[in-house]
Order: sequence, then C-alpha cells, then structure tokens
Amino acid sequence: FCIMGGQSSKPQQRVLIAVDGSSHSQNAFDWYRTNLATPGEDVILFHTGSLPSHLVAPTGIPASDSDVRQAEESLRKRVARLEESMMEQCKQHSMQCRWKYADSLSPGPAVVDASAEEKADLVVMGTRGLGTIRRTILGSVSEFVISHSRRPVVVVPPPPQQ
Amino acid sequence: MASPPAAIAGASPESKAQLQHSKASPTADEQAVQNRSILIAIDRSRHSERALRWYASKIHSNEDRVVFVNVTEPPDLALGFGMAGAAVAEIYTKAVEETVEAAKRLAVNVKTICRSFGIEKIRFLERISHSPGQAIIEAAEEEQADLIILGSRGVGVLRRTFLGSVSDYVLHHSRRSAVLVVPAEQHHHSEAGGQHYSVQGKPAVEDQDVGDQAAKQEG
Repeated sequence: FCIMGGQSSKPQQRVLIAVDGSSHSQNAFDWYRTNLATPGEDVILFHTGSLPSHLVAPTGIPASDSDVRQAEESLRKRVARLEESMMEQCKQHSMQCRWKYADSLSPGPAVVDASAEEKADLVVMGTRGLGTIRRTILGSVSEFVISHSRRPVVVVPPPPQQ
Repeated sequence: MASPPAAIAGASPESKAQLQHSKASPTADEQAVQNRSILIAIDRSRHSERALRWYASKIHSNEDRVVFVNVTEPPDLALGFGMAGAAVAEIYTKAVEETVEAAKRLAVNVKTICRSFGIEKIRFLERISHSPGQAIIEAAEEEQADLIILGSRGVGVLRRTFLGSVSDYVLHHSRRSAVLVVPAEQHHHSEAGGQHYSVQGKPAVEDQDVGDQAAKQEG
C-alpha cells in the first residue's frame, strides 16, 4: 500500500456529491477532485429529479398517458446523459464512483436523506453564487442541506469571475 | 487554490519516487492533494474543537498548510461618565490583555490536540473584530485557503442544525469552499435551544471552556 502525503492511515471515506448537471455542481465535483479526493475513496454521485410537478401531483385536468410517457422518457434520457458524463469523468480520473438516483420533488431533503442512508462521511455541494457582491445566494437546496444535514457538508462556491 | 493534476510538476523527488512505485493507477496518484492551505476557525467551544478533530482525523495531509484563526469581539466595557482619559485607557487595555491571554490558552490547547494527531506545523492568527465572520473570510483570502473548516453548534429540537451566526456568515459570504462539521448522529438531544444562539467568541455558559481547561491541567 503506497504512502501518499501521509494519508495511508486514514480510514477510507465515503463521499456523496450532489450533481444536477449545472456548472455549479460540475465545479463542486472538480473542486472535490483536486482538493479532497484520495485514492480508494468511495464516491457516490447523487442526482435527484422528477417529472414536472403538474404530471406528478393531481391537478384539475388529468395529464394524458402520452404526456406522462413523453415526460418520463425525456427525464430518463436526461438522467442517463448526466450519469454517463459524470461516470466518464470518474473513469478518466480513476475515481471509485457510484451513481445514485432518487425521484424527488424536493432535492434538499433528498440529499439529506441520501447522505444519511449511505452513511456518507462527507457531502459535497455547489452553490449558485448569485447575488450582490456581499452575500452569496446558496440556493434553496444548499440552504436546506446545511441546515438539516447530519453529516459534514462542504459548500463549494463558483470560481471567481476572471 | 490547489491546481489541477499539473501540480504533479511541483512534487518532491521522494514523493515522485513513491508515485512511480504506487500500485494505484497513475491518474489517481496525480490526484494526491498537495500543498493545500487549510483555515480552521477556532474558538473556545467544543464545536470548533470537534471541527479540528474532524479535520485532523479525516482530511489532514502532511503537506497541508494549517492555519488557525481565532476571532474574539472587542471587549464590552462599562465606562464611568466623566472618567479621566488615563483610567479609560487602563480599563480598555486590561480587557484586551485578558482577551489575548484567553486566546493564548486556546492556542496551547489547540497545539496539544494537533500534536496528538501528529500535526506539528501550525500557525495561529489572532483577531479582534466586531464581525468574526468577516474576519475569518479576510483571513481566508490572506491565506488563499483551499478550505475553511467550521464547526456547527449542533442539532436542535426541530431537527435543524444550528450553525451559529459566525459559521452562517462565513457560509453565506465566502468565495472559498467551506466545510460545516456537524456533530455525530448519536447526539439527538438538543444541544442548542432556540435561545442558545450565542456568537462565537462569547461562548455561552454551557459550552465547555476548552482553552481554560488546558490551563487548569497545566496549572
């Protein structure tokens, strides 16, 4: 077993990275890879999505079967594309990654639940970083997760504008 | 900020040799984190001690540059109306000296904890500021921190974690990554009721005064 930077004695960690296809979550993934990742670490790429809410919750006008099927198909494709792209990056960087998907209308609670379920040692999230110069807007998902997470959470802001 | 895999170019001859003999794949080796700048926000509460221990046991690498920042707020003083200038200065000086002494005791305790994890090379930044959160962010910029380590105050009755106003400020204003170290899941009892929302640097009564404990042990 090789010794690298004195980390050979550390227990291998399980890290859950919230991914949503946005540049912020890509940035969080890249930050994790260059600053925290150690060989052998168990990385869970967690994505949550759902059909548009009007197709999921009962509304006055029931959606047609074909609408629902179309929405399901397009969701499935989008998720598959994201999975492929993220897993390919993991492969390129020899990271031990696992894809995890959950249907949910509420990404915040989904991330908290997933990290508890997986007993993640660390949760990694990107933030939106919009807003005034003085205050970063974390986004509703990050806000929820940092307020409710039972596991350590890394909040990764977007890179500074060049 | 740590640079991408190109950082391998700066590796020492010893670590390069190790990498060549490594059984792990070449690409994973390139990811070995090098020369990170880590800023740990520390105060006298057990929450920041927890954050330190978390970093030391899970994250620390011998190549990390570890910097602690302790921020206390300027002392509150009751000054008599019409007091002579010299008396005012004396009272203020005394209050600042007490703050500095408390910070020194904290530094001793932090050093002891670090040593127990084999972390010897550490630096301390002592700051007095009305806005501890802002002071931490400024320190992070000075140190070009790759990661800021923050403690959280625990889990409350309503299953919400209490960040503490300083950690909350840093998380919302930082342009650099920050990790919030929450307590282990076993602690479901309420550590922080709604009214226990004190500002770090003025630990609430229930918080163990970690810095003074060390002084007692050495005393």
